[in-house]
Amino acid sequence: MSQEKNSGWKATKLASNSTFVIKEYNNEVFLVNERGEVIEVSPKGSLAFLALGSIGHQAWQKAKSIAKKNV
Amino acid sequence: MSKPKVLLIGWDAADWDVINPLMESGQMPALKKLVEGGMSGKLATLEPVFSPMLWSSIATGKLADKHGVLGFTEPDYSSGAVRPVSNHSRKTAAIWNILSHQKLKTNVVGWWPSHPAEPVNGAMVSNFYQKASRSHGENWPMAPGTVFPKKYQQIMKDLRVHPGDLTDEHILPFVPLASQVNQEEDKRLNSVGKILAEAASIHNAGTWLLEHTEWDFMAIYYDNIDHFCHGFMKFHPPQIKGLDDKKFELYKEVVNSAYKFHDMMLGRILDLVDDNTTIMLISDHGFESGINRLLSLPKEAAAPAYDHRAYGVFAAMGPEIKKDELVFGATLLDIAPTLLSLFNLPQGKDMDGKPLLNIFNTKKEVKYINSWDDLIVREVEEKLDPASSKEALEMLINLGYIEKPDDKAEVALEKARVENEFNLARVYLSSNRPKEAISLLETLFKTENSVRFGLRLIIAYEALKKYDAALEIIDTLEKAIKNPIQQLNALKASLLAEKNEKEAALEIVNLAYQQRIDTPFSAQRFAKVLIKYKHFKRADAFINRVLKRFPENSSLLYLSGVSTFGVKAYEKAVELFLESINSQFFNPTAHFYLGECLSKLDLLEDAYRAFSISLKQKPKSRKVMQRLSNLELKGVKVKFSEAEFVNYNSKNLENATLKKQVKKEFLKNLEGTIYIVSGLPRSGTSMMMQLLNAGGADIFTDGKRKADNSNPKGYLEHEGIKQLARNRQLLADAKDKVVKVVAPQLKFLMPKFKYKVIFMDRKVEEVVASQHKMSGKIRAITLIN
Repeated sequence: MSQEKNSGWKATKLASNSTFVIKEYNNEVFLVNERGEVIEVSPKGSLAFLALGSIGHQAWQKAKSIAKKNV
Repeated sequence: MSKPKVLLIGWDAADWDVINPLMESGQMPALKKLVEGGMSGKLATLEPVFSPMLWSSIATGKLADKHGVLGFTEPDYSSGAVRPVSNHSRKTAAIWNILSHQKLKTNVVGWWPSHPAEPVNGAMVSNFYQKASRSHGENWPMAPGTVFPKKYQQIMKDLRVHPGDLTDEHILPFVPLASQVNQEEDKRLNSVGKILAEAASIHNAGTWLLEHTEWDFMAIYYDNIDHFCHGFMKFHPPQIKGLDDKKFELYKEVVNSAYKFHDMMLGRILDLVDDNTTIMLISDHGFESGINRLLSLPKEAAAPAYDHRAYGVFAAMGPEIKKDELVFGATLLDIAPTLLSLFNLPQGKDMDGKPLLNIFNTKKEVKYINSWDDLIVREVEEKLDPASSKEALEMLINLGYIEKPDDKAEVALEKARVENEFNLARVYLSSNRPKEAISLLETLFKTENSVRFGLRLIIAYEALKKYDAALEIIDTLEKAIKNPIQQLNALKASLLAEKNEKEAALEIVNLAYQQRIDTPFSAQRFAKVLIKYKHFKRADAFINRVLKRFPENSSLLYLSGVSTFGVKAYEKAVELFLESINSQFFNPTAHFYLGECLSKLDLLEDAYRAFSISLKQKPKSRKVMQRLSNLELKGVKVKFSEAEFVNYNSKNLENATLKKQVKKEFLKNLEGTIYIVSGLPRSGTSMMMQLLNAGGADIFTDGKRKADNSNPKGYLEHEGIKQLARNRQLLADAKDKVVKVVAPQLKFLMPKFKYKVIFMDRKVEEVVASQHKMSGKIRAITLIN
């Protein structure tokens, strides 16, 4: 999953899940779907996270904020 | 049945021509799911093709003279400035007002124009929401009135995406060679980022409301495909002649990427709704992506609209929607009425559109009230914020939709007023109200002798048969302009033909035949003149020169049908009329001609249906009534009443069925060849039949006419051929066989079959001598008997 996270169009499959929650662990942000699958959220974001809409945006903003703090 | 739940998605400028190849190659799976799981088709736009007017028509089911949004901007005399059209401009209830009034939970996101947000029974996020008005990193406030109710303001503010937030991860899929762009000179990467960020903001607001609020109806409007196309369609493959190679390589992926990204967003939305939700996806117009793309636009108001095409997209899927079928004849005006039908609510009699009843899998009863405006009092309390208006105005200037308003307020206000009056005149003209159009255009033309005002004024005069007045305007324009304009010549020819000045009209047309024909408009006018004088082949040649570039133009298809009908190629004409009707369902004459063709092809039941639709669209047409009577005489059960025609849209499906049926019938008829042996009696037809029989050909004969001294080896005829005039269908049994049809009977061969004819060419003197010899013998036999 992590290999696909920022690879442009290949990441479209991330959008095929239904509901997500945002989890934070060890200064990293993850989206977890209802089947327990985990998607790592990069501070750089991706089209797939934009396409996920509000939850993707919130996860991305969180990842960016944590990355900024850690710089 | 559970309570209806409807999600309406707007993709400004989405066009099947770009979508179809992407869907077929698996790059738009979400839209494919929608298309295959429901009804889809083309959605006819309105004139003028300006998005804020069109989306207002979609939301209200009314033309612009009723909804009041007359352009991109309007004069604001109280502030003395030009402002963008707003929620204040609309003077009638939109679908969300109606549904809110019915206590249905209603969310609206981004609709153009919907600022300032108005109170609804749910939430509204206005079309000012997504615009980034400050540089990245600066405080970025939302304009007052962007969100209703206020409780959602903070979350909506946080869900916005600033273009400066985006990274190479977002941009590279659109511009893979972005690193090669010289950003000092070329600002297009900024443009990609800005449009993408705006799309993401709208999508974030929409998906949040989808997930976190209760709703019965929700509308989300994305303007981004339109913006991507205005910026990058000229780079879309295939490469336009004259376009710089490097630029083409840099930006050739942008348009397809825009569609793919919208499909990703649609996929997410489909994930967020349940199977009981009806999803409808529409666009207000298409966008030219083929050979008619322009490298540069003319310098005039709203010039980007030249890239717009007449048909947008329609796709709907849901528990009450038929599956995997096509919808025909839908227009933007039909969307609000169809939504009302989905919620089982009555139609306003003042609406210009009709519900698309043929998309439903059950019969819907249509009820009416006079007007929803009698019941609804709108409350758009929030005043327009001048700073936000100014920013929105600048955005419209940057997009090229409007010119920068004049520094002198009076001049700017007057220009805005003139543009909107002109737009209103175009609405009147396109909805067959020439008198109303003339009252505006005469004043406009007096103020400014411009071609755009003059052309419309001529058309309006023509509609009222004021041919001399129209010719006077042409004369004025010809004196005022230096270069001749083909459209004016086309109109002149057309007007002269109406005045029965045949030679003068044809002279203009013949001169034009040597030139390139620029527009469908000119081609139509020239072709009409030629059709009037029965020069069908030349008319068709005119049309086909332009039809290649505008293959979906319903008027061109219709005229091509008429000229094809003129040369009696009825099957081909049927195809053309059906294509024309598919593009524009409301055309009583096209339905009439379709009926004529089908009658000629002996498809009488189908002809009856075509005439019926024509009569519904043009009630009391004596010509159609006469045809229906003729059909009745031929045994067709003609049964029609006013009640039967209450909703002609319900007939739309029959077009699809009819088309399939005609095509099936047509192909079936072409399956075999009928081999005809013909010639004058005693020209050697029997001899040829004998030759073919001996060679193993299958002969179509009933064996009734026996051999005699004149033809000792037999005639090999079929008695039924003598009655061919009365029983033309007989030849259906002669497929792949050889049949003798003497020359006088040839005219009764039905054009729907495929023939090969062997015509015996014997010297006339010999034929006559043989006939005399034979008739003498016959007389002798008779005498003996």
